[in-house]
Amino acid sequence: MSEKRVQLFTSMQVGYHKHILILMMFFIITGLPLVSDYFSWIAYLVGVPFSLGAGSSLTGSDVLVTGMQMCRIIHRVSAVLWLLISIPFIFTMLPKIAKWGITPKLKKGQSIISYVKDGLADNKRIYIDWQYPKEMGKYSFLQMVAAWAVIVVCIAMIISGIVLWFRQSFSIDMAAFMRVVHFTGFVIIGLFLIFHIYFAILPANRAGYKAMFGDGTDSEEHARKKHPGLFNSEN
Amino acid sequence: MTIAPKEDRDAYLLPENPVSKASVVRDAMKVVGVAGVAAIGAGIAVHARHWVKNKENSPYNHHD
Repeated sequence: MSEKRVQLFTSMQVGYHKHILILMMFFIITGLPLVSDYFSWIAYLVGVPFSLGAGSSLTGSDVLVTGMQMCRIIHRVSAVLWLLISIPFIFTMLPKIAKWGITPKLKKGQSIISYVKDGLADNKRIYIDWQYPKEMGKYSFLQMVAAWAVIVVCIAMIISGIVLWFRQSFSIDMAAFMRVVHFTGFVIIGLFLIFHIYFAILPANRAGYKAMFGDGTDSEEHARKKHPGLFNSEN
Repeated sequence: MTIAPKEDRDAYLLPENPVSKASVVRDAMKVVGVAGVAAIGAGIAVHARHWVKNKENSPYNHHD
């Protein structure tokens, strides 16, 4: 007999996540040589295939310059693709923001401090005590904090990226400031991604991982244990 | 990193003095990034060890 399944992620979320994963790799690979000399070898590697047609007259620095330009182009093309796939995602998801599970839902009379304490206790229960949570909805408290941080940083990355792309239309100081914003955003996103990938592959999140890379569903039996708040709020 | 030659600085709208406040902050962020990666790497190692030591008693060890 087949077990009852519940939808954790919509096909739109699953598809968007897969696209983001690939685009993020392009952003990182092509962004690193633009921020530091230590990663110029990446630009060199990117430059090699694009320099093959030029024959043997090219020097090493020519290949590097070609690689840097290709990194810039690929970085910007990736950004455009990201914006293009984000438009339908945002328009589909934004009206349902209350159902994302990343907005805090305080119980009647509950203070914010007690909400945070309960949320952190659930996080400890899952990732330190390795037990099922008591209150957690779709996401844990720290996942909600991370989600909002990522949304804010992504908006900052888009704005700063557009300013940097069209820097001729802005002052030098503005471009320099946006370069700082873009790089700071990259550091935050990079550190977040390490956490994100580690927690995604933890056995405690195996069902969510399978759902995100599968059909977006989990067994109801498991979902009721791992996401009790999801069912309480529905009832 | 820029590949623009110094004499073309104006054409590329590059600052006169590259050691500006912005570049100092960017360099500081590079240190933060490297230190962050090292700290997270160490944290993950400790946490993963904690999981391996306790996984037998966890319901997550049995869920497929």
